[in-house]
Amino acid sequence: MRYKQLTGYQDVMSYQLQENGLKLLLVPNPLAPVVGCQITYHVGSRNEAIGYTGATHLLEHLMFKGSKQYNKSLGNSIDTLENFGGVLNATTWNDRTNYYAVVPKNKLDLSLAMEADRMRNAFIDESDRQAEMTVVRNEFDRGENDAISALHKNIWATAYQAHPYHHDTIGWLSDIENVSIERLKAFYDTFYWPNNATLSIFGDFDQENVLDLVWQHFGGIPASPNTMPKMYTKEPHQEGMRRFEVKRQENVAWVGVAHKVPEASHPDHLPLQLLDRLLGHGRCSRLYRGLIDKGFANRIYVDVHPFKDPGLFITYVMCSDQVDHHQIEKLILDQYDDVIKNGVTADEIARSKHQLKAEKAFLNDGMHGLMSAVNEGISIGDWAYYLDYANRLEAVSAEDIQRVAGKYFLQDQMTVGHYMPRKMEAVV
Amino acid sequence: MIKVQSSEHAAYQLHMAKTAHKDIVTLVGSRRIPWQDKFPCDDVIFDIYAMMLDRGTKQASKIEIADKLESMGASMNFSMQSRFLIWQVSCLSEDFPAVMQLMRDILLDAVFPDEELQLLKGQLAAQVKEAMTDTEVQADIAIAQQMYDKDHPHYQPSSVDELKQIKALSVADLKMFHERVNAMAPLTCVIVGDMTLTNCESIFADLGFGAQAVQSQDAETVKVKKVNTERKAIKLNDKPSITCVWAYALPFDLASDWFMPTKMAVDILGGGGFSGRLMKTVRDESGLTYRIGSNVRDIEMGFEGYWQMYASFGLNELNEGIKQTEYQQSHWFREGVSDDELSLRKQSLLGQQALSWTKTSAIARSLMYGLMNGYGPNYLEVYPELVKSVQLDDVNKAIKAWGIPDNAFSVFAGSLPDNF
Repeated sequence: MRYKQLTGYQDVMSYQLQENGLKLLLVPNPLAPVVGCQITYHVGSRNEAIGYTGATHLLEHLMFKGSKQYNKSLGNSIDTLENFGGVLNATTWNDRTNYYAVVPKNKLDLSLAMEADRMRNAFIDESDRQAEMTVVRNEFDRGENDAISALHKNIWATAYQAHPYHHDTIGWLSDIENVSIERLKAFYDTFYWPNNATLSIFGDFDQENVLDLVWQHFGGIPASPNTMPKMYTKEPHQEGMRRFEVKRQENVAWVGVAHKVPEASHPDHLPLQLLDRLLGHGRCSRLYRGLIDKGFANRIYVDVHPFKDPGLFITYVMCSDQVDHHQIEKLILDQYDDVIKNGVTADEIARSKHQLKAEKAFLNDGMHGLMSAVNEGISIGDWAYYLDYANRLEAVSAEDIQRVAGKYFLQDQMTVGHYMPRKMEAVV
Repeated sequence: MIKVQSSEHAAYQLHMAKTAHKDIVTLVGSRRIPWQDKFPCDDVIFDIYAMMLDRGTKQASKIEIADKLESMGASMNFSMQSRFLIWQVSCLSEDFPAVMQLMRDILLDAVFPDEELQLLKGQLAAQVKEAMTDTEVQADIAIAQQMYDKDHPHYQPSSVDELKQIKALSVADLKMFHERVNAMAPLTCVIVGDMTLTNCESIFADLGFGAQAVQSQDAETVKVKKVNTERKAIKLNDKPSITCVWAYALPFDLASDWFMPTKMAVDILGGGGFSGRLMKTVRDESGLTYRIGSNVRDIEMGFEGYWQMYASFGLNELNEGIKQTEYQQSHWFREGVSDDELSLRKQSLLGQQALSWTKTSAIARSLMYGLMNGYGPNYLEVYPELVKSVQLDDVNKAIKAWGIPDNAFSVFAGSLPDNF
């Protein structure tokens, strides 16, 4: 038996290669003769430490520089998939790194062959590191051009001190510039193995054919010789509110308010996600009506993304000219207090749940949304998380939301950031 | 091939593509706007009109509209695209009739409440102020002002002028504009997903669009200006990534025989994801930038536009990045492109079209593009023929005609060195 069959979800089949532990998900979505091929490695910026922050992301870039069988000198590097209309890329985040390609179905074999080859045979070469370091440095600089990105980076760096969520996925600039090729190679040799990855195939495919192809390309790769290192650092308990300011020459002011929340697998996370929707998504949401509709704010983002380890519930608000940072901060916290004291209404819950029903139907519209949903589920150790999302949130009650608001919106667990404009005009 | 069925009525045209998607529908709608007429605050009135439409109707307030849409998990967004008001609606098939009723009320019975206009003005003013320190927006404005006179729909005012016009715009201006829009040509709606044309016709028949008087605006092609071949520096503090753009006027519209060969030439230079020449050389080989490419901009039926190369460079890589980008452009101009490159690009574009058929909004937008630009409802079939018909000689002639390196208007925005 090549594969061990694991528990699926609806029409999604789940397998594991017996030889090397690679997990495989088959997600049919036969809308057109198109397939998506995605591999998710269980390594992200949470696996980094001082000196090599950003290594996961830099390594992701180096993975496009060629492998033994597919490279520029052979004229068949991975970007040649674009010659058939393919869309390919990769992303790195806190808990995972994923590589994906959406291609015509007759290119699935090629796409799998390329992905399999770079799993263990990527070049990871010093000359490539030098060239790609400056590419990533420009990516870092582009983030520095953006106010919300600067505020976001500082919120996490202030709220988390010991845990690696402290640093942004792109890393600190000096680490990007100085990390050695030996360190990156060691990172690759530690984490890029079949037993630390999940391969998922989407779209219009024949299941038996895919099982054969995956065996053919990945079956011969051995499992890692060593066990995967555990990331054991835990964030110490926060003992009081933290504040910071970022001052740059911008014309607009932002406030960010963040509270510590638990990890994705904690039962309180789903009520927090529903609360995020009620507070900040759409014109009927509480923050929109309380801040934007009253002219106090120009833009709002609320975010409580579920991560493998405890994370943050964050509200970002762009202040209008009518208010200062402290007033906006109070207005945000007043909205939180209202939920703690008075709860949420049945209408608000019903509206969100109907939105979820529509979102579930639209998940199958195109390939990228579905691929991203499965990828983010894999990253928190539960690949069906977003496929079953509407059902899971269906079970959340108004009482649950009020309870988690009271439990997590605590002043001592709060981090507040003010993005301060130093007035300027463009000099042409 | 996706099959499109169409039906024409006095006040609207329907084009329906039933696909394998289950339980969902995407609609992309368009109607002509009186873009040639003179209106107060004419650099901002078009966009603000689109943004104000769903902020109150004779039947419902902004919040009531939002509540209805959000309670169905539906979305409806309005925007302006040169000669057209465009909107996109996504919803469950079961909610389509109710969502269409909202769409009808918004399009015909918007009331433009003053308190909503004041709120929106505050938000837009903040957006413009934010954009004053955005390197990419400032580069875009500089190019639009260089390329176009005020009568071109893609002209952009300076941020200061834009703020003045936002402040001056009134509800009366919007209502006058609305009257003119409602007297224009019929609506065009493309519907893609789990729905049939018969269902759509029945739903639309009940909406009461009526038989509208139709006025059309035929016009001569709006041209690009003769461009000054200057180099413009926009110095902004705290912007370590410098936006660099080289823009070249293209004095023809979409109907011209120049269009497809030029688009293909520019695509080979810097289109696609990782496989354009600029990406392969300036980024992959030399590591000088995260983002680089080239594309054709603003050309439509009746509107001339330009093509551009764009890149972002950090201060350490700025001079070498500019040098290598300009070298690649000169090389492309001198040597042209090869038959292999053209064949691969054609194959890539045809593959991209096939890939886009998994998504209702991509199909709907492509069909609407064809309708807006005179290709008719068979654009999905016409497009592959357009791509296949491009000849290598024509591509290389286009490069010689429109890619002359010295004809660039270039803009550099960010924390530039003092001696730049």
